[in-house]
Amino acid sequence: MIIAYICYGSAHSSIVAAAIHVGLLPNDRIPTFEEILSLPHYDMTEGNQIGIPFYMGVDEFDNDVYAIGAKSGRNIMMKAVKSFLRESGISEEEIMLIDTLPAIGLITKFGGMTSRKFKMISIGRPFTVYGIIKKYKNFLDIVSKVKSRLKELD
Amino acid sequence: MVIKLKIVYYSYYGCFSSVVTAYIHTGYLKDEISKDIIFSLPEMLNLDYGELKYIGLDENLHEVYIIGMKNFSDNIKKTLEGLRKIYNLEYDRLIFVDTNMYEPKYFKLIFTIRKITILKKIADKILYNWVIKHLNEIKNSVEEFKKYGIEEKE
Repeated sequence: MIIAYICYGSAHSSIVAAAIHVGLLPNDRIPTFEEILSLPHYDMTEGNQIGIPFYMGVDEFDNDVYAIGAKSGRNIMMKAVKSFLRESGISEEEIMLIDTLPAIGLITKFGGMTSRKFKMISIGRPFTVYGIIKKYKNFLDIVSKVKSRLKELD
Repeated sequence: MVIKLKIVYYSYYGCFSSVVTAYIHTGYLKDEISKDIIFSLPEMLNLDYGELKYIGLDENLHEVYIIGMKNFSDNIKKTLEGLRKIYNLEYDRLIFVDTNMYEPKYFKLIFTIRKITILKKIADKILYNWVIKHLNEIKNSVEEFKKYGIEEKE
């Protein structure tokens, strides 16, 4: 199965959630600034890369985990993905799409916009990390729910 | 080697210009296009953002689809192409064709007016006249696409 965490620009929340899922970030403590900054693709995605599925690793159930950006069209994108797979003969159960944007707060949104949109990386990036750390529990909850569902399916 | 394609006609709404273009591509709409035929197409004015709808096969057995993606076509196209590669889907190419240039400027307004019973006929007349006015243009673009667009992709 493919697990895809979806957010606005595949630069912050989907990357963090996917990283927790595959064990790149801890699930029993708050990560450090450096741990978050060292994640692949973290606060790096350019506008023209939004939509490309970024491979983040494999989980303990042997599922491939991805992070995908969908701007403000997450519902349309998810529907497009499901209908596309259906038309290609692939069951909807072969993919799990999880919206991670509700996990973040205003601090990360502000930092993300400053860093990605306005290219003021040195100002925006620390805000994104600080915001993620403040809301880290939300990410743990999302990933925990996903893993519970996966256990049920296993 | 036989090339299998999925050709996806898309626009903001995905229920007007893309429908006409896709049915011309499959050969269902030819020279005589009556109002009844246009409005009896199941996908015509059936607004359903993100839903990939199968229209039929063309003369080369390429599959033809339509979809409405609002302004998210750039990222959704990348996501679907990425998933095609991830799932190693059997067909060789996924081709997206933008039909937004054949969408009436005030489509949303006409679409809304059409919901008012007494104005439905007027709205249908405007939309039908639009199709007839742009029919040759659309046909030429489809022919051109069949001649050069697919070859380029192959």
